[in-house]
Amino acid sequence: MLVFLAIVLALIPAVIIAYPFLRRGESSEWLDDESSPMATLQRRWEAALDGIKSAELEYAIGNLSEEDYRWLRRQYMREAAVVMRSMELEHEEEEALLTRIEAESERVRARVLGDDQAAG
Amino acid sequence: MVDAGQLALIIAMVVTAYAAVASFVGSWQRVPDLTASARYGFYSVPLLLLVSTAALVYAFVTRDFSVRYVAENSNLAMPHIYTWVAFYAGNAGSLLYLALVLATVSTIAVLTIRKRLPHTTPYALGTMALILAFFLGIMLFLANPLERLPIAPPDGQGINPLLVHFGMFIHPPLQMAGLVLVAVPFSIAMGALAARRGGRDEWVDLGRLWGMVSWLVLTMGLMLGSWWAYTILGWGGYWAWDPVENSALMPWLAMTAFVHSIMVQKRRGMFRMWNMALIIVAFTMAQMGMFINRGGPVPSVHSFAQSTMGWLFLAFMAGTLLASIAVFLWRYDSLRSRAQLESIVSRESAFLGQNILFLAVAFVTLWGTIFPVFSEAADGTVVTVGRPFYDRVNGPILLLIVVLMGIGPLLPWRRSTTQSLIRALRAPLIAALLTLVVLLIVGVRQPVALVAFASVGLAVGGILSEWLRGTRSRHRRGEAYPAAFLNLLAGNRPRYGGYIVHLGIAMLAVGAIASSFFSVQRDIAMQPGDVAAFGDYTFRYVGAIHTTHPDRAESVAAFDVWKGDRLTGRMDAYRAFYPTFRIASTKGAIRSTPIEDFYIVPSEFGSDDQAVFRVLINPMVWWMWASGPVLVLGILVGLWPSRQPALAVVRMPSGARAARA
Repeated sequence: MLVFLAIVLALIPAVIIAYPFLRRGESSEWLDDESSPMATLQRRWEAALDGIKSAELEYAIGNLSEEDYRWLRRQYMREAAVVMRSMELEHEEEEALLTRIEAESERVRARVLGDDQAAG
Repeated sequence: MVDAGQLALIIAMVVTAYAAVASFVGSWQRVPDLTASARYGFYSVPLLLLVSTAALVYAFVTRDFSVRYVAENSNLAMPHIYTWVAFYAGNAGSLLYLALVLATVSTIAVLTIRKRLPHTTPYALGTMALILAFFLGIMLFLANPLERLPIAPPDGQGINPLLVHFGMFIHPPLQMAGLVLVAVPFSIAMGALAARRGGRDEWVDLGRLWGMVSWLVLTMGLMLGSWWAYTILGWGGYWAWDPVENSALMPWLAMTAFVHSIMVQKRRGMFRMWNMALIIVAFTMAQMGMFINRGGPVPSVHSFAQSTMGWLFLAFMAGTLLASIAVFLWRYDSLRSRAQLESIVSRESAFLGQNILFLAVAFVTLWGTIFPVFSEAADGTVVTVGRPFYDRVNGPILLLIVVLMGIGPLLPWRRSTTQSLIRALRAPLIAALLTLVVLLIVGVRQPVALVAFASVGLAVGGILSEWLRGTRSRHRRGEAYPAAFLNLLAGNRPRYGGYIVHLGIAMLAVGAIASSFFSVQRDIAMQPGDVAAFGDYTFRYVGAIHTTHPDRAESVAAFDVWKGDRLTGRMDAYRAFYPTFRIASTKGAIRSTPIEDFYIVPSEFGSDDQAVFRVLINPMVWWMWASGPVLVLGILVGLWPSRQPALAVVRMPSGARAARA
């Protein structure tokens, strides 16, 4: 009985471990690098967008003065513009992204001030 | 069954070692089949350890005293329900428990990171497997929970009576799991660093997620431990700055710093080196905790027995620390920040300040914990460091942390003008002032306590004022107040989840401050029928009932208690003596309200049931225990996945396309 158990217990991980080498014609491949330039740009874009949303939220709540709000928004928009330039977008695509930023800002304002259904 | 468990343990060790080696080699040599094989093998380890665990549980349930661990940690009198506690009550069983938790959670972690961090995952998995292999190796060669005795005794020694408590069902497993789970964010960070991805920020989201999970488990472990100490150790307190308590607190402090600091990397691409350093410190401190727990040189009331095993944990800690530093230096160039600190008055600066303070408390606690070792080495005298040291040094730093907890989240990222600063801090400062005035009116005169409560008032004021403003804004647009509040929270879960956690911490602080400054106690000798008064309370000792059980002699003293003229009811204080262990266990009779706890602990009973009772009034301790669910709620709200609108899908730039090609 013990011998049978030993064989079963050893066989299961052995088969699992060997499986990738035994697959016929479908070898594993390295997946896309998480740190590709594309991924980096995407993260920087998200960070800029998060920054704009955060500034909107702080301003809507009343934590931020008008001057700080405008300065922060300008900084993050500049970063978003740098990312867009790096992405080599067509003019229409840039316009679409800028519209998206405005929509996101509006959504944040609406979440604090209400009417988010309408804004969403 | 036991033999099957043994076999499973040996196979788990072999597979884990293979997973570690194959994962690293496969990644270095870029052999995808080898890393896939390592990963699949690693997935089978939790199942193998589950077989070992089932074998041990089966041995407990069938009273198989031929297994040494079962004979040492249970007996015929032990109810089956305590099998769960007995499983981790001793050194060997707790190692199996740790290995099972680490293997299971690591497998889940690998499944969550595999696709998003394909280049980081093999290194992270290799690191997790190395750590797991250490636990399995210790078990196989030094503390095997399934080891057989040459001759099976007719009965076992029984379970440690101090563990026979509801809190013990949850506190030790959570505490141990919290310590070992720090290995998961550590491995992800080290994996990213080794794969040269540490300086980019892709690992941050998942590192933070697993950091929060381990932080939550550590927090709950600490809180339940305090609750257990308060209710069963019978000394009226909840925290004694004992080395084992400290060893769980230190990684908690470092992890708290990490889960805050990682946000700065996510938002601003800053603190990349700092975050790596923080997670290395947190993991080192978690290992220090295990070293102290497993027979380190520092005496503690509730560590495992002294053994040479502790020194192996120390050696492993030193090895992983050196290896981490080596990887850090090797990949140092890839850790440059994308941005710089733009102003001292910004959220980033507040995070940095708070980080430094958390680390200061952690290192002060570490120094106090290991001081007896140094004092003994210096002049042969063991000098232990007690509560006055920690109160004096850590107290002010913790107070500053509470102040920063109130101010930090209200500061904007990057910079803040004076005008913004005044806007943000107006409400919290008013709340602090109001707290001060109210406390002075009710007669509080302790300057330090006043400052401490005002700091908590500041933190709570900031949170509540923001919620109030947001809710009112939404209400003005037609939403009912409850809906407005809930929608506000749902609109920004990470932020408001964090605020709920901060509220929980404020509740914890209120309990700690009030009980530290205003607890009173008195020892009163009483005979049945005697009436005594303490504070607003009057209590009559009704009498004691004694019963004898196979493993213990139990006494329960009953009291009728009045507060002022009002009868609040009967309270039972419990004491048991376990002759086999020569341990007396007490459970205080506690009447707990948000205002104060009235607490009676019995000492030994004499003839005619005469006894000395320690009576305490501990203000606001209730708030500490109530903060637990609030902390859990906050973390769950913060981590709950929100439905984010998809970001614009963009074309890959030509440079990137060329790089990929």
